[in-house]
Amino acid sequence: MDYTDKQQTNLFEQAKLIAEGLREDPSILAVILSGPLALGKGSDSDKIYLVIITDRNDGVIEHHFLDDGWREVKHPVEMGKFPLSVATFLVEHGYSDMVSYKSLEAFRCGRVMWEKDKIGTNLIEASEKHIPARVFIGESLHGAVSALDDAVALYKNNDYKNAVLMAREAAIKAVDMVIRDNPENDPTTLIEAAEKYLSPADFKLFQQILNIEEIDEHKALECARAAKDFACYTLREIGVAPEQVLDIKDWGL
Amino acid sequence: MQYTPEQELLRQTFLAEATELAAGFKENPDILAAFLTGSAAWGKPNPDGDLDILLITKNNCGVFYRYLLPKFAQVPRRTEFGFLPLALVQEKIERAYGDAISCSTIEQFKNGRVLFQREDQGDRVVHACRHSVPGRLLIGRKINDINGLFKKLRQALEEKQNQTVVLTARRIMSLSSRLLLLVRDRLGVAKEKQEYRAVTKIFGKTESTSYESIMNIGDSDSEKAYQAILDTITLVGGILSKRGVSNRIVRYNGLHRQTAN
Repeated sequence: MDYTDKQQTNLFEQAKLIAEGLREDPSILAVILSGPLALGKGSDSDKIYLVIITDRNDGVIEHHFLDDGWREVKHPVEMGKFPLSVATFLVEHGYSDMVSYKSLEAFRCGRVMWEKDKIGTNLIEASEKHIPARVFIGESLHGAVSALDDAVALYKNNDYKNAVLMAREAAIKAVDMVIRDNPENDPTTLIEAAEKYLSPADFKLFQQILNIEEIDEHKALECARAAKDFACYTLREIGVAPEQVLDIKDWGL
Repeated sequence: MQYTPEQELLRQTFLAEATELAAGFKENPDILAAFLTGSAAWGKPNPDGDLDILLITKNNCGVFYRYLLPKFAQVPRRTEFGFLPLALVQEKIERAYGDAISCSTIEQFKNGRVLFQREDQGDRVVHACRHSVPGRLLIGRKINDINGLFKKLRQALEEKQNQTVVLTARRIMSLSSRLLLLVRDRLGVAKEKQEYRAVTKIFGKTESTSYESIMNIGDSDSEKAYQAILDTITLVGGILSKRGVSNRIVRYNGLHRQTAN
């Protein structure tokens, strides 16, 4: 892939520097560039994502958050280090949770910087059967799935009200992911966006989960009034005059 | 917090497993302290949950995590080791709830359980976290956020977008509760699931009733929660399948996470 964008070219040059530096480590078998840059969509605000395959046999996946960069490269870097045995297992068995999904997604979006014995190329090719599209959505997907995991765990602990709140949170995060994924990304409310981008059946389900399908004007007003009262109460409790800091005059609520 | 005998046994199991795993770092002079964090340390652990262990390091070689899967490593369950340099932890504490990461760091250590420590490094971190006080700037920013939501609420009311009114009112309730918990009760809500827990644990009856009423969860029982979860699994699964992602990511066998690996 040739980068025509100046920012992307610059970032790629930095990624190459890191990849070359990693050659010094004899345990490394392949270095793969991943994330938006590997997909040709990177901008200066994106991190440099690298997948590193090693010959270690401890079965440990390491995830490094290098916010200050790596050696002379001063751009934020995220580095996932996988023993070859773990990487091979993942491409053979597919994903079942967010760690395995995000790992396979990183392989699938990958571009080999250097490799021994076609190890990187083979992993990228093998990941295609599990992740058909080259998309980098794992980060936003993780929020929705974690919230759903929490809802299930709370339910099992008989914490039903919190389980309902977390199920709603998961649904909102999943719809947020759809909105972000949409190129036109109109500035609309969550409900308008959900109606626009979800199928009618999914939109109905979404309203059901949020328990808002039967909201009339009277109920909405009642809810708004209660929220205003609580916000004002909160501010007074912490020693702040609500009318001084909130734009709530002449509301008629 | 009250625990059933099963929950207490689970807590003891998690603690014993974490203590044994953390002991592997005792000989490493770079590790200053090890903490068990998450629900296993302070709440009701999830039987399918991971072990989350945070280690404070002396050197400043950045933040990194190690994921150990039972299939490949000698661990009883999925285990996550987070390595955080001491200097960074101190910086987060100084920021005092100034951003989501510092809020999460402070709450994790405040509620964590020290597994081992050199000298009293672990206790010192816990002490500093427990005495961390939110700054005025932070409080101002949070009030600003609430005011921003009031502007949206007004617009939605004017346009008679009833559903948006309700969702915005819920957001105002959520942010107001978090502000009250932070300033009055010195408790930062780092994760969504902690919000309701904190509301029920710390707020008085009138406050928590207001919360439940605006959030519309007053009558949420086992059946309603189950239905909400099933509906969410269907919705998220559908959204994922349209993006070529298998819905097995959100598949639960009898509401236990299905694990193929």
